[in-house]
Amino acid sequence: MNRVPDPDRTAAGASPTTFDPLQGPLDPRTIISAYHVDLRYGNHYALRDVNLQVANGEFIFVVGPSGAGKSSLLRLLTMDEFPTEGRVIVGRFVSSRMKRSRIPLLRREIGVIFQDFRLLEDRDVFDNVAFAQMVVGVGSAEIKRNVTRVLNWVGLYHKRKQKVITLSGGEQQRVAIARAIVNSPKILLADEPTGNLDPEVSQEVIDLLFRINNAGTAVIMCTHDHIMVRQYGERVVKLEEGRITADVQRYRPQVSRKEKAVAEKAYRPHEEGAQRRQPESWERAVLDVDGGEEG
Amino acid sequence: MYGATQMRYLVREAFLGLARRRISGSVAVLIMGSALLMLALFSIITINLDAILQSLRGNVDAEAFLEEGLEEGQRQNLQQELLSLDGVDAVYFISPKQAIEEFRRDLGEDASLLDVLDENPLPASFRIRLAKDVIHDADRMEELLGVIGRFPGVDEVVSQVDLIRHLDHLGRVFVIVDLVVGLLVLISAIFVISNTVRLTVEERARSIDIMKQVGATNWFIRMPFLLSGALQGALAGALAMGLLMIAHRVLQNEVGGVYFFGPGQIVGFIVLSTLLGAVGSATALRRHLRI
Ligand SMILES: Nc1ncnc2c1ncn2[C@@H]1O[C@H](COP(=O)(O)OP(=O)(O)OP(=O)(O)O)[C@@H](O)[C@H]1O
Ligand SMILES: [Mg+2]
Repeated sequence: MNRVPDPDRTAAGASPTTFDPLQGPLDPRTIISAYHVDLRYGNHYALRDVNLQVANGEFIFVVGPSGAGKSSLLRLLTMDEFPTEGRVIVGRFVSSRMKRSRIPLLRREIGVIFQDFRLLEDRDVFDNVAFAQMVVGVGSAEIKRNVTRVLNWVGLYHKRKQKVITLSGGEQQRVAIARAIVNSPKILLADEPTGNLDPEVSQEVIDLLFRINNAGTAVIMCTHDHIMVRQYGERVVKLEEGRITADVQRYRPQVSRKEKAVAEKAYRPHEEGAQRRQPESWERAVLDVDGGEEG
Repeated sequence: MYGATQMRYLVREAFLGLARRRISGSVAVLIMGSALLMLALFSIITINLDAILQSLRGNVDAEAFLEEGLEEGQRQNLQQELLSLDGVDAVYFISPKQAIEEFRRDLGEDASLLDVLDENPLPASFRIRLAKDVIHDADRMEELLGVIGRFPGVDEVVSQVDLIRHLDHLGRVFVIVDLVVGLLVLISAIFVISNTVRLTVEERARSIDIMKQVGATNWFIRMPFLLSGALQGALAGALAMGLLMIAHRVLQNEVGGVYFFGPGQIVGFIVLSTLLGAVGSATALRRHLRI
């Protein structure tokens, strides 16, 4: 919007559909974009012609049946995988121009949590969270300060000296969340973070994610949890057989802690886009989160 | 970018890693230590052999026996001519009388044996001190002695050139053995360390993936493995050197005059072992930590 027009590119930049990926996102608030991305394993397409724009501070649910490519999409964003075709841009990192040695730099700017927590099991809670700061090169006094802050924030400071395997699933996921946010990332990716947790604990985790989102971090969460999506879904991206078959948004139907923040977020990246659906189609698109089993 | 906090962390990780695999780690140190001991042992033998060679070379004066009935003037001319030869440093005249005196001294208690002789059987001779570079080249020495032998007035030249030839040969064999043993030790030491590191890396594959996910660079992940490999190498080197030192001390009391490594060589040996350990773990990481 406030971008300085580039005389050579103005024509291409004029419409989102003919957008030139090399130019970077049109809107300065866009923090993640994917352009015509294919991801192929051998002959099998895990993702096919995926186009996605994520703005700063958005909360996105990614839904779809098993094998639809949700995790693959996240792996493209952390650059564990690179597109077979097309281009992914995350912050200042462009997949097609990414040197391997820069991948760690990207990862430090993204928090990631998984269904299976992925903690370093031979270490205690404090060291797990501290590791994320250690690799960035932070000094010990500051590490202590930051880790203490985030552990307090997820409510686990009193368990900082326990080995992570002695914690419950919910507690382990909170440690993983603390580790994911300790470097204050602009992006948090969550791959079925509640998949291994019972509903009550899931609620705690999702609340934490909303609080993180309220603080300005964009959150992309893959999930199979219909109820949660129905309850909180604000923008929902649906994947089927590697394709985005729906990318819809609405204001969250229930009043929540986040409601005000949501209302204030006037910007919607797909407002002018062709894929934008009307709110009434939201239910239809999202109700059958995992494919056609409902109709 | 990395400061003292990170250095401390990496060193601590290296030690923790070793502590975690105390048994396989110790076995690796022992195996590598014995390989290094072999290398050190052969080097010591070579050093001592070399010392023997040097001291033998120090007194390899050639002796040119003179024909009988040589006149004083002829003898002095001959001495001048020999002295002017390239490769001859000094020429001393030994009269028959001096020769028998020396012989008597050499015989010591058995000198009375000579009393049965009623006349001196020993001929006069020149003792010829050869230049250093001649002594170190058996071929040149033999050639020079041949030249001396053909001078009129010289009856026969004797020297220890054959002994030197043998020792030279032996010395060369040992250098080759050293090289072969050294190479085997290099390979086996690298292999042993690389093997334990490989096992650890495989065992910790999950942790390594997590570290990469969190944004650790390859070097950050590798460093503890490299450090612990280096540490194992240093321990193995110190072990080999320690054992050899004890053996040397015992032998020194029994025989004496056995050379050992100088302080510089000891340090060099342990540095080499340390590097071997690091290289061993680096090869394992290259193959098993494709990041
Ligand atoms: N490393 C790989 N090699 C080959 N095929 C793969 C690989 N990773 C994923 N796939 C395939 O890509 C497709 C998408 O997988 P992905 O893990 O992204 O699905 P998903 O939507 O996360 O599924 P789930 O909900 O079960 O986690 C699947 O068909 C899967 O078999
Ligand atoms: Mg998945």
